[in-house]
Amino acid sequence: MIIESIKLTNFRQYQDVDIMFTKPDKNKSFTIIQAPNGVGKSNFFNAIIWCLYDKEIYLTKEDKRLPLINTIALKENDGNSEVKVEIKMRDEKDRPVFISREQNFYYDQERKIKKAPSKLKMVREINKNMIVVSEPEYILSQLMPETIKEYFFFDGERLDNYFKKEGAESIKNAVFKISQIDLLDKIIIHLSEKRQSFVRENKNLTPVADKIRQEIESASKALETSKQDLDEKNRFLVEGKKNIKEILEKIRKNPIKNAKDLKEQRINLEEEVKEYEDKIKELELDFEESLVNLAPKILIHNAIENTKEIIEEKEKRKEIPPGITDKYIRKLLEKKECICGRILSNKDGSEDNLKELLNRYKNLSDLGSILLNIKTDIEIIFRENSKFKETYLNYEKTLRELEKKREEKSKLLKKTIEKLSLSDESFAKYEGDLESFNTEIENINMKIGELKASIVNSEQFIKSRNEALDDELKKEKKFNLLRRKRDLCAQTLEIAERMKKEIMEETKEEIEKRTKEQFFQLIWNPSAFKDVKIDEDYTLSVIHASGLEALGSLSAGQRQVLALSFISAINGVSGFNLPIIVDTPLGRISKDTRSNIAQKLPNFLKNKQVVMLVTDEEYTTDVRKKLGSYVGKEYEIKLKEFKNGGIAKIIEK
Amino acid sequence: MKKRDRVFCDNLKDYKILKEETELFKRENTNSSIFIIAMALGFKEGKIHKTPLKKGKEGVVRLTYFKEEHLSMIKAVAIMDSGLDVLFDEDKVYSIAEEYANGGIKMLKRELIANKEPGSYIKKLCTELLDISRKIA
Amino acid sequence: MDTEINQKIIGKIEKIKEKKIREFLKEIVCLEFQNSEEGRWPFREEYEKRINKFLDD
Repeated sequence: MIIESIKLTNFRQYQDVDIMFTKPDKNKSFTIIQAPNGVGKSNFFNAIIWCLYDKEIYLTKEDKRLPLINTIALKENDGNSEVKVEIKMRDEKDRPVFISREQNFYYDQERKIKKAPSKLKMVREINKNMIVVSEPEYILSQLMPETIKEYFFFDGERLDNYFKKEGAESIKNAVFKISQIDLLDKIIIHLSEKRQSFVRENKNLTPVADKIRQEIESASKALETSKQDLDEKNRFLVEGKKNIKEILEKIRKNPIKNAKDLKEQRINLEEEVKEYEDKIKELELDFEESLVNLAPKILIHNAIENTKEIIEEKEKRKEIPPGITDKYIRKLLEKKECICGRILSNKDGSEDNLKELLNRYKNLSDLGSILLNIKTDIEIIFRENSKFKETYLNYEKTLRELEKKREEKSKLLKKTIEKLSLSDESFAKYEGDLESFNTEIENINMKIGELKASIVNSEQFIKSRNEALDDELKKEKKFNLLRRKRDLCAQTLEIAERMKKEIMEETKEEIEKRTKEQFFQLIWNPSAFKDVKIDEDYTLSVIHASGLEALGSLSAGQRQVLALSFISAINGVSGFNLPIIVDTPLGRISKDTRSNIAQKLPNFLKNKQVVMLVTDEEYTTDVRKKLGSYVGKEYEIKLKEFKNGGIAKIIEK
Repeated sequence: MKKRDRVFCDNLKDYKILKEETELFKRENTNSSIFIIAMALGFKEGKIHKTPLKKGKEGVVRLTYFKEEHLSMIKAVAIMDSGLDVLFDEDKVYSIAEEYANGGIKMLKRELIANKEPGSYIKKLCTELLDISRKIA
Repeated sequence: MDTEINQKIIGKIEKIKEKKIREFLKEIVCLEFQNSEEGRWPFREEYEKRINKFLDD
């Protein structure tokens, strides 16, 4: 950017000023505005600053008391006047940029001076059209940022500040501003703050999720065990019930019903067996009884047979029977019957007669009659004896039959009893089993009840712990999120800080390099010095050829040169191409040094538009001569004091 | 001499015991039955078993209590023992019977009373009787 | 515009290897640049937005 012209209206003593500046071509880049002290040289400088940045930097005590507006103008217009500064510039592409600032001043009811806010206007050429810029402040800050104005618009007499104690800070600031790392700085501050806030937030979250998880896990394991237990018990229950069902089924199908039948059967059989036994016994007894009669007959069979034979022999020989047997007679007597059939009685002597007959025959003692008497018996006995075998065999047969039947019934009875006892046994066993199964089932049911209760408890516990876990996880989630946020900020912060450091370092080096270049270019005795440095702590240092620190021993002029070199380095590094406006560049320097500097200055500030506001003292003929060919325009400020204020004019020389 | 009206035995107690303590004579328990069977047993075993009566003999069965067949049997035994002529001596006939019965009683006692299985004698008896009856034509 | 953000800064940002941080930094540098004249810290929310945006990547 270069300034083409400046117009002041009512700016302090400059009621109406319009001056042109030299363009930095054809080697005539200097514009000189000369004024004696106190005239308002600095106010002109301030006017430019005010126009651009709405502030004045170098105000005298007096001027501070005065309003910005030219007091005379204000009075003349009866408290309604405006200050205006217009700067016409050209950008890099030679397009016109008009920057102007206006401010209204007026009297209030008490005749106090009041001012309206100043207004910045910018008009520039865009696409061959002159456009009023809608955000002039913003555009201006892009074109000529305020932060670096001091390296383009500066007071030459204050350059020494760079070498004072505070100088290091100023230099650091300069580097800082020039490197535009205020952005990074802000980023660093803001990221830091954000990071802190995340850390603070996280401090309140102390996730105990893991602990809860463990609780849940062990409770879950216990629950699982209980459930398995329950399953097992349920299986037992099912089995037990099945067993009971089976037994009931068995009982239903067999023993009890049969037991009844079997018992009946047993009773019946027992009766039958007894019957047979009775029959057998009776038969035996009968036989025995008969035996008593039969046995002797058979035992004496020989005798019987013998007697039978004798009788038969006698019969054969007709020795028997006798005529009448006494037996016959005895029988008659027994019957009390006569031979003729008449009843015997004592009355008629019939019985006695027969008795006498008997005696007669008894006396006969005839063997034959005796034999005849027994003949019948003997024959009967003999026949009976013959039949004995048959009789006995029949007896035996019957007996055996009965015994067989009895045996059969006995066997049946035994079987029945066996069955009964078996069924009794089985029944007892079934009953026993039933009882034990029932007891078992009772126990299992109890255990099942316990397990169910415990399971419900565990499930509730797990549920509540899971809820707690969810909360904790949310906390944890938040915690992790905050941590990640913190980490992002921390990492970015680290990088930003590193970048800041690097950039500052690089910029510092760059400035150092250029300062050194400029210094050795500008200084008239370069061989006296070896090096110019900006230390880590941002202090300028100059190394004497001897190697010693020379800063402290530099002359005023040398210091000025150093300062100018530094300024130049800075505005070179800044990347901005702006005019340099310097107020009293050669003020406190001795004559010779001034001459030296003046000699080198043009070359040094080559291709830059330079506006120098000089005092009479510093703009000596010598300086004038030295600068001469580079000066395009020369102006003078003349001030006229009036009652109400002053009016300064800038006249071309 | 007084005409005999009864048969005698050594000891009436024997008859009592047999009647009371044996199965065989539970029902048919007249002295006459016992006498006859004792006589028959004694006869069967042979003359060795004739045992004369002792001095203190006791009357056991009145002759009138014997059945006809019993008497016939007694005579048959006497005939076998001493020949046909014995029939003239009534007393002797009964003595023979008594002596056989005496022996027989002892046998009965032995078989039926002393520790024997009830029924085993009967079986023995039956076997013997069968034997005999088989030989009968 | 003649000058936007210092090219040095841009250049160094581009050299950041971690994509997330690089893009995040770019955005907040722009944020700062846009609001630099304010001098205050009113755009905390904007910071927060950017932080959240780059967390989910």
